Amino acid sequence: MLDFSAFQDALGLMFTSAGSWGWIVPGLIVGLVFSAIPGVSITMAMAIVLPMSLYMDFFSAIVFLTSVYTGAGYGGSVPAILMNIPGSPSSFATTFDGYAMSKKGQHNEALGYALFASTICGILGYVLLLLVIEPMANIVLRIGPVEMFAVAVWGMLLLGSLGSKYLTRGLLAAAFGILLGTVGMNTAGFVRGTMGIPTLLDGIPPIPAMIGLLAAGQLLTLAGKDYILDAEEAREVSVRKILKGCWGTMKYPGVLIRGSIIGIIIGAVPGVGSSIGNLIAYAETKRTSKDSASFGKGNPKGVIAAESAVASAEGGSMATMLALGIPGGGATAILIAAFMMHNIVPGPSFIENQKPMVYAIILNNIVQALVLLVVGIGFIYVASSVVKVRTRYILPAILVIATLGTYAVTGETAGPITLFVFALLGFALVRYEYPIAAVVVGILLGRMLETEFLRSYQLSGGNPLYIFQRPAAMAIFGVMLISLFMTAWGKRKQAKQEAEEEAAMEALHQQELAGRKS
Amino acid sequence: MRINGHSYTIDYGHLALVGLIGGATLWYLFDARAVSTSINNILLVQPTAIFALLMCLLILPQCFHRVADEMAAPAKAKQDEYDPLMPKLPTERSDVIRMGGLGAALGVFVFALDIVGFDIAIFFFTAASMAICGERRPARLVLYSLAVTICTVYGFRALIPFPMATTIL
Amino acid sequence: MTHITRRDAFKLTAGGLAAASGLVAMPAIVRAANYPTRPINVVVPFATGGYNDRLSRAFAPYLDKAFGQPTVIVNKPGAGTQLGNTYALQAPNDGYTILCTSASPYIPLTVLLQNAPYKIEDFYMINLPSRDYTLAATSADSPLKSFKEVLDKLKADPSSLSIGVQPASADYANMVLVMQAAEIDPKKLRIVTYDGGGPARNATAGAQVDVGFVGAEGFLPLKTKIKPLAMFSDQPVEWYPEAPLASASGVKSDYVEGSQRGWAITAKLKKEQPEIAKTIEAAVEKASKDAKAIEALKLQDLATTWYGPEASNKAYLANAAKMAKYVDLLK
Repeated sequence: MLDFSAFQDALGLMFTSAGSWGWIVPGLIVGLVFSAIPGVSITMAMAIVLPMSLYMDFFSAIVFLTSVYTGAGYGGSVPAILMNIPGSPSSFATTFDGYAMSKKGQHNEALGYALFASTICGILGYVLLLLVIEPMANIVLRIGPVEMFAVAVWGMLLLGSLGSKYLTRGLLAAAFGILLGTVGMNTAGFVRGTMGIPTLLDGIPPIPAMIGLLAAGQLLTLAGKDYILDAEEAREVSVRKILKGCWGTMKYPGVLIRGSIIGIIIGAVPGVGSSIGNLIAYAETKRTSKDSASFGKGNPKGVIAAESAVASAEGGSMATMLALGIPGGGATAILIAAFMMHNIVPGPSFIENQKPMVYAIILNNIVQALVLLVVGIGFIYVASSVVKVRTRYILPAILVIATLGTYAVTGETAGPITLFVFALLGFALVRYEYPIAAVVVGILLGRMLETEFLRSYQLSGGNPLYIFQRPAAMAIFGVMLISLFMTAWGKRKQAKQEAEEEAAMEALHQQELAGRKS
Repeated sequence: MRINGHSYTIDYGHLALVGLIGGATLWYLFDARAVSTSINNILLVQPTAIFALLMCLLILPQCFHRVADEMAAPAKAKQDEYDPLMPKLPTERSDVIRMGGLGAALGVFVFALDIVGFDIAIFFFTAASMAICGERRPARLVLYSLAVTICTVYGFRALIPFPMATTIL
Repeated sequence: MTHITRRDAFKLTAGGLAAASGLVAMPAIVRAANYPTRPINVVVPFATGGYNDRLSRAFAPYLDKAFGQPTVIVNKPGAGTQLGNTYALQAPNDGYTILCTSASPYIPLTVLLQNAPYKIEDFYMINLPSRDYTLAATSADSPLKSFKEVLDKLKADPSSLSIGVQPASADYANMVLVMQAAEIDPKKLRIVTYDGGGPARNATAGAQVDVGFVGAEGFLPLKTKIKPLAMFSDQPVEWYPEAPLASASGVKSDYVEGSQRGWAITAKLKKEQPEIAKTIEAAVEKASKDAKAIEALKLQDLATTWYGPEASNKAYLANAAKMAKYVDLLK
């Protein structure tokens, strides 16, 4: 648990290196701005500023980079809410209810909800990290392919809650998405479906594909509109409403805590990344909510759930990095490089010998989350002005930026071309009422599903009884099945009730008609 | 088309989409199997592909509508409520044309990037998409497009670690 | 890709200095005389943060001094270095593009297994200071004590232990070679595949797999979480002296070097612009021998040793030939 003398040293370290605090605000702004550009992910934002940090002293460099990390964690939700384009895969679930709120003219509140959820859960993640950094790191290493496969399946279950008019089309969309996600070289070294294009060896780039699919259904249809929001009175930017959203977040402590726990654990597992945490948090919140029908139609809880998982994942990912020297995802890989460039190797010996430094880094991140509140409100205020600009000006600029953002993923026109090809596919899918979200989830999770399923198979030698040696995996599958069963049961009951009500209404209506006739 | 005394209309667009997805899936399955039939290769891909093909078969009948049904189907679509998970395309003719135009412009844009350079491609795409969205004043078309081009080219050049091929800037 | 090349050449003529007007038409040797006159691109075929990226960035200030021109790091990750390598080969043959790459195992692997559009001989090594070897390891709390014990157990029952390894890698070849030497059928082993060294190391340290065969260097931060069993090198490795050699198990097998990382140019440049190639060689040598560079890189666990083009190319080609010999094991 917490080592108090080291903690005091850490406080000392924080104050003696007060100069490095100056890097918090620039770092947050860089993170917010970069990640608000569709296509530029957290990893990329950090990779861009890494060379800059070489010229700072160690603590300043880490403060600067982690500030970018914190800012970028929130920045992605801004385009997700205002324009339905997730800045990166981790804000995909934010679009579901965030954009729906915007459409209702509640973009101020939605951004406020997201900001506060992001801040609170960011802090929650780090506080937990402060307490349990070492035991947690050891547990993380024990999480194997079977558990990871269970998590991936859990992520896919989100599809069940997305709802679609046609079950078959939803299932086809999901299966097709998974197949698209497995293109390229798999974990056993087999290359499929690349048509000889070397770029595809690493798979279909998910960010351009995701933006393309979503853009077709949303961005391009704006061409016929004068403004992003239809209602004139909705096109306002109001600090009061943003703050209202911020306070509103406090009404849902359960959603915040659940989102944080999911985010921390998934963020801590190396190699999973943040793209699945927000999906699971969203699906779980929706499934357990009494008003689950209003999810996807502008329920603030959807925004809070998604954002809380994204923000808390940062803490989890940092735990693995500091305690083990293993990157949980792309962003922490960059941080490790920054550590190394200052001749410090994170890992077990680093935690042992430099505990005050570790605590100072964690404490500084908590401070960053608090500063994010202020900087974030300012950022929202500026960013949401896009709702006041006519589409004829804002739309071309956004399309150019998004296209260049997809170019920035690998530095090849393969990105923009992927964007376009998937926009075409997206058109067709929307036109014939296939759920786009199912394809996106498939693309995001397809690779992980295959990799972990395959490793589970290899590890067990093909013996399904192997799962009995992995109690954690059994627990995850168990919880999943029970929760599914409960939902199905609840839904059935609800449907029955609704059907009865409808029948009663219909009967009433018929009576009325009959009455009028006679 | 008439089958069993019922009139059917065929939704060719939907048929083409199902055909495309089914065809791509089938090709992918064969491509994967051509590489290797080892379980390490097709453990997930084969069952998923077969499942997808099965779904295609199940969806196929949905491409054929009974004419009588179509007439009888009530206009139940609730347009007033927006559902982000099920976005709707615009139905008005002018909107469809604009959207199509913008999509086409985007297509030309992404393929032109490497051929004419980023700067020129961005300039023309911005101008074209502004025109599609309804801007007609030439001064604004030129100046705003120029501003977008300069900001994005220099901005992204400072931002990304890759070279961007430009012709003039 | 060809567009870029063409346009870059165009840019050279149109956008360069006033002198550029007649430059392209001039004989190559004249251009070489005043090389370098503008920044030099260092292509790193990996994402930001990896070993090569760190090496190039840490070395850059000293290289800048030696060249008298700044260097620009260009990350071109993807397809197991194939994209970056292709990019470097297609750049104008003027010496303004050099590579900082993991020559082995990636160049031979992309050639042998991915049908990359280049040959092993298309690259010319300037200096390969960093060498890494395959390490067989188990988690720190594992009951396994020695590599001999592992081989004995597998001989009795090939599926008794799970093995974590990256497919189509030098590590995989070494694993198969040692199993064959110990008369164990590699096909009967319980092999778990990982798509990178990092995940394979995590799985080893976390006891997900019983034994992992991965590049040794990456294990250094995790040293306390693992038990080294066998290092696939001729002599104890300087930075990991406590790791026993594979030959200590009593089983003798051939092996390939895990990786050879450092500085390279295209063979075409060496052949057609020997003067420019000489200048680059001289600059890398000068920077490698810079006392300040050696000190700075040592602190970051990065290698600077100067072996020179002759020794580096010899090592590179020998390892590539060995990998070609064992290519069937990799498939």
